[in-house]
Amino acid sequence: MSEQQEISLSILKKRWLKFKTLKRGYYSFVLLAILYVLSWFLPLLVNNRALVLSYEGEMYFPVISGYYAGSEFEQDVPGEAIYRELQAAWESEGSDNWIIMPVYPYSPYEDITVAGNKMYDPPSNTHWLGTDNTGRDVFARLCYAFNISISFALVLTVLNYFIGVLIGGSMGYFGGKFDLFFQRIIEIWSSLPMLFVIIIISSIIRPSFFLLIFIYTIVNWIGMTYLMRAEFYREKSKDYVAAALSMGQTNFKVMFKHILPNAMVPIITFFPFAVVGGISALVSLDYLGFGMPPPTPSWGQMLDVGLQNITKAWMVFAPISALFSTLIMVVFIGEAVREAFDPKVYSRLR
Amino acid sequence: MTTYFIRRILLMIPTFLGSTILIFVILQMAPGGPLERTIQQLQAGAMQQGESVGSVGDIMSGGSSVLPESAMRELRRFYGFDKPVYQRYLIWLGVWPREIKHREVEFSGDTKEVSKNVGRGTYMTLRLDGEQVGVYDKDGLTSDIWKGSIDQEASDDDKVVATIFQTEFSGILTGNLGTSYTYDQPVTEVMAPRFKISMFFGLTGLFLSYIVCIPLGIRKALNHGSAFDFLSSVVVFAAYSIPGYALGMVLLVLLGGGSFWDIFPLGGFRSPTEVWETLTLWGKIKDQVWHMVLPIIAWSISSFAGLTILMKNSLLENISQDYIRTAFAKGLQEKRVIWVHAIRNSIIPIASGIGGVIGVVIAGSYLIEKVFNIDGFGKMGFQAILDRDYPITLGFLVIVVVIRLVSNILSDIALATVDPRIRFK
Amino acid sequence: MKRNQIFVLLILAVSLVFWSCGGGDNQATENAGAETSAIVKDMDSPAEAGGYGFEKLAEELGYSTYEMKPQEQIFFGDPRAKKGGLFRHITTRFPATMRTEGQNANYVENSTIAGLCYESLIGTHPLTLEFIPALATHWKISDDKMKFWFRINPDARWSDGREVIAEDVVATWDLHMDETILSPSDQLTFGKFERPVVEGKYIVSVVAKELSWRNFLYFGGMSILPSYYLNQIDGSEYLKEYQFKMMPGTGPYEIKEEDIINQESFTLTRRTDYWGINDPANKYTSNFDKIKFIVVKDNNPLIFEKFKKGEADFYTVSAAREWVEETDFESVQKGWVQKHKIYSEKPAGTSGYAFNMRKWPFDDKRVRMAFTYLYNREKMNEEMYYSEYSMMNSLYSGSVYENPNNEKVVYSPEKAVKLLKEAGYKTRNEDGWLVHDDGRILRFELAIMKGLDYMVTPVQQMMKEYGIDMQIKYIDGNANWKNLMERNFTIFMQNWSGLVFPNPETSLHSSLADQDNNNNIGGFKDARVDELLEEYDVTFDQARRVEIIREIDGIYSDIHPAAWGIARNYQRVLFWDKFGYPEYMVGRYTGDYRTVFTHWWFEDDKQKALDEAMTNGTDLPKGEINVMFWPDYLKATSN
Repeated sequence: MSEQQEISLSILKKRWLKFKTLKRGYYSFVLLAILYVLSWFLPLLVNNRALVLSYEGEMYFPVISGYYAGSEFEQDVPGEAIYRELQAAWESEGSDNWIIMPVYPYSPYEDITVAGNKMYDPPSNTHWLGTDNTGRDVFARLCYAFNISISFALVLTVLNYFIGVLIGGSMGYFGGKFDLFFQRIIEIWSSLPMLFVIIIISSIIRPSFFLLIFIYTIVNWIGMTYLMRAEFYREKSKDYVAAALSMGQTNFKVMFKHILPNAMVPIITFFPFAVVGGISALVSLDYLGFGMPPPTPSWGQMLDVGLQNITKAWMVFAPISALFSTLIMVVFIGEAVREAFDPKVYSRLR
Repeated sequence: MTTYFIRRILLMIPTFLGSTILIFVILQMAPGGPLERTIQQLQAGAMQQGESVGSVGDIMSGGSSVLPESAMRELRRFYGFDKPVYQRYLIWLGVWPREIKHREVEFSGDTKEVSKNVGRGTYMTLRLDGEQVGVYDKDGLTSDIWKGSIDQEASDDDKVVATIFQTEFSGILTGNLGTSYTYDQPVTEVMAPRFKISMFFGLTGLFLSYIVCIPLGIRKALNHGSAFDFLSSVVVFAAYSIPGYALGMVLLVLLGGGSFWDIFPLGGFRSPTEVWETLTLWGKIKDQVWHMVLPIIAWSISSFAGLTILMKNSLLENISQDYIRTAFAKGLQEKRVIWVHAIRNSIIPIASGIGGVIGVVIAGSYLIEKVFNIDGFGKMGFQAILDRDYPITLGFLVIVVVIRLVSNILSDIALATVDPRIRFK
Repeated sequence: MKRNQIFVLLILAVSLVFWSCGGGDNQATENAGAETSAIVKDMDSPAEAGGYGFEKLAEELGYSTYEMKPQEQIFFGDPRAKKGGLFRHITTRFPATMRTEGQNANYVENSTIAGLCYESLIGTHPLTLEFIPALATHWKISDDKMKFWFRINPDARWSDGREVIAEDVVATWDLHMDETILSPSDQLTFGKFERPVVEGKYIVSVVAKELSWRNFLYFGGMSILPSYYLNQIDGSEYLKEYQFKMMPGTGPYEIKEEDIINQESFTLTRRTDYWGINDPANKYTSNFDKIKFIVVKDNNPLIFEKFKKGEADFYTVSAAREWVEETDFESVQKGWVQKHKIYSEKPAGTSGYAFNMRKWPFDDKRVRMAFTYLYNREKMNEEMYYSEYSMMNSLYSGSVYENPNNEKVVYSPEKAVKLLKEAGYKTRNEDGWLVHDDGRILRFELAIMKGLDYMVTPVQQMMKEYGIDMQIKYIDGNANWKNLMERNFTIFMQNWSGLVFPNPETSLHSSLADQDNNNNIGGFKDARVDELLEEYDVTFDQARRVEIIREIDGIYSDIHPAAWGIARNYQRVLFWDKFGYPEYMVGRYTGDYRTVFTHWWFEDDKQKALDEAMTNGTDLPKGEINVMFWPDYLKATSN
């Protein structure tokens, strides 16, 4: 058993090496991976809360520890301290207190209510991509929306895969009545009016990241099921399955230990495209107003606002280019993965 | 083979029933149904959007605060909500009698007989007979078209509330999809023109994307990894990542003649009817094309990517197959090998996709139809959902379901025809 | 919140704008014959039955009427007006029906049709809101104010040439009371009366069931339909048969069947044989030969583009942003398109946030007030709305009904913090949210419809600064409404339009506070208000009614079930410079585009000048942007 795993590991290694030689996809992967990892640390990079602040000898870490009232630092504001102003004030006073702000000191939520923010500010040194219709920084929102979009797509895809493999695999493996029955269920299920489901649920509870994932999964697992069913159906008739069964392996073991590794190729090659689908799905949901609740930053919402203010070009341009760059990188990865996983060599014919 | 497809077609029946039951149940759960909407219309004033305070309300309303119970009963009967869900479903299917032309009659106190105008000055006599209501015409004979029944919930000690109505079997199985709540027209009448418009756009767009994507995909496959491959990928995915509706709006503002260049009309499926009817045949064709350019661009732009990549991958896959290598080994010309063998086989997956694409074409066009002010099928369906126009919603979903079921079978047939190796059992 | 008041507005709008004044007296009868010679006059009916000669008996019988004074002519139509031309108006919805009554007929398009194609018994004066003749020349109100008589103008004709008779009024009332027209509010409104009685060929009377000053308006404002057609059908047949077909009307316009193009457009055509055409009170109104309604659904940018391209004649700018940022295009700069901000006395309505006073946390007045003090609408007006608005501090902002003693709320966080402390919200947790002594976090949910988020996210941030967690979610309109009606909400963003005659009972009476499905959204209960409401209905003296409403407004402001928003008392409009219009441009109380249909006219010369200017690229004179006719008029008359 362990021997077989070793073999498949080495195959994976080979494929990885192959993948690395496909520069376009590889670099896209590296870049996207870095960006995505970075996006988890966005509060440290793009935020209006200070990273570190030293006030009268004491150190504070507002990014990590959260809310500090402005009054704690003798700032005359009712609520939370406005660190940007604090920094400017201390610097001009030349006091011993100091503050380290994130690289990009704006949060995706602060709007015209914070003094100094204006709506429809065109792109400039302070607001790299301008501000939107309530004076929120477009760049900050873009970054946070990136994290949400990718996470949404990843979680959604993994979940769909899980269900797809489980149900589709069983359908292909067992076949017969079971298969026939589930095919009907799937056909019926796929007629589910998605929009209604969302309307019903959102009238009861406030949609959240996981709720949306849940709703989308309800409808989306079907695609993967078809793929897996075909794959398991084909593999089932191969000799190694019969051999494993004759050795007394349980169906469960045969399915997941023997067939699944052999059915991995479509799973992995399809993955990037499923991610693209997930990103687009969230964009259109948000655009239609059935997505994440405001003020969550999202590309769909930004696109919507941009199109309503079409004369303010940066508001349209920003989400579209973000969407474009992300999608194209994922697609390049997808192409490379596909090539790396395919045993046949795609090359010029002669 | 034939038996396989016959079985497939027979299997559509349970699927169809299952789907419609599912949809029907979901609809019942949606908050704020047609009943509430009507109440809202009657009771609510101007719940407006925007900061535009003070403009006149969309909706006018009556002078009182709570609708009387009799009015609610009437509305409930009209929408069929006086029946349990399963009956409503069966009525909708057309296998349970539908009550039509119902009118309420009240027997107050000891009255046992009431005369009721049932339209066109025809009066029927209703006679209370224990737990039954008899309906008699002017000659005193029991009516065979009008029926009566007592509304137990509305009746009390002082009065007996009854309804007089006719029944008919009219549902989807008899070709009757009901009457739309918002358009006040038969659903089929509402759907037919919109379906045509969407099919027209959808098929044009589909055709367009096929004639662009297949050659492009072939070219990309043959030049896999080249600069052309890379650049065309960028272009195709740029097009894919710009949502069609966004592009449509931008194009309309730029080229519609309102603000910048006056090249194309500002939306609409064609010129206004009164203009359209004066056009010659050639004029009509020109007018139609002129109106369709922008929507078609917006419509098909996002489908380019998928098809192109599908074509490319499928061809790549085929080129590396053994039979192609064998063909080369036999010394056949490269052109002939590719064009005769590889491409023919690569079109298989694309051909099998046709069925599925049709469904997408119809349902997925709401936003573009909205941007271009085209009364299409997608917009109708979406709006019906927001308006809780159940007959339209159900009709819309049923059509989508049927199309999907049929197109699945079509895909299989297409697959079997194109690829002789495929055998269905 | 004052939704039901809209009904009165409907009557007013209909009567004020659309036909201004109905049957005149003698001159009308003399001239009418000249143009519509085919019409046979009924000279046989005795004067007592309302026939010719009734005018002489009227005073003796206790009837009153109103005669237009010559100096008022301009308000009943500008004598410079010419007939002719086409007016194209874009509407956002194709009406589900062309009927004016019954199911699905209570949209603004239907009331517009009703106003232009049908008439009611009486109208209201465009300046003073007094009763003026329409189909009825005279009317009488019994001493106990429970019974009304109307005398119909014997000259009044349906478009098929039939006479308008008392029977028509009865048949119309019957239709409204027929439950099979599926419009229950009709039965509510007209169920306040007994069945009208034909007292003579031209005289009809009706008895109200309960005393209310509104009854006369309700009944007199009912659009009359022809009995000849109504008597052949019942309610459900009416719904079916007249779905997209007009019953003959008495009004100045008709809709021909071929002009109804489903989901695309419908066109009203002026009737040259309109019976009242020579009455000076009607002579200069309804000037356009055709009024075309073009449908563009749910796509405001496209409507604006179409206007800019010249495919529509008139455009109302609803958002401040659009007005400031988007209305300086070439056609405006060159004066081809006129740009105006027209002030009027149109009721501002109410906007803002309504609290659910039945449950935590807004059952506590201190929390409600704190919200109000923290809601910095001045800042939003400055930063987001280009200071286009004024602040609302009354249910009847800017009208005579506003209580001048209401607190003029301004942003004052200190007061808010103090109030919140008093209410028990003293500390903040590590996320910065306020926590009550009993451990509850001050957190609630606001459901909005898509597209409104820009109006609420700044408020969310304002609340956040002071530790109040207002969570926002999108909801579909129907679900939102259902939640509202089932009181399943904490706070609700509202935006109701106002009425010329307020009708606060439906939203403020305490008996409604604990019931679902009515307009007392916040659960408002006050004994004194209940008393006042009862008095209000039976008070026929307008001055006293103003006092009553002011007192109610004061109590309302004190109990504070809502944090008021912003208001404006003008319309922002753009239109192509080819029309003539009276100086005031819009009606005193209607204040919007609907005056255009009736009081504006098409000017050939202006059209020529416009065409010329557009071909040569030259400028046309631009008018003053602010049209202050009504404010000036008010000042002049009140001095």
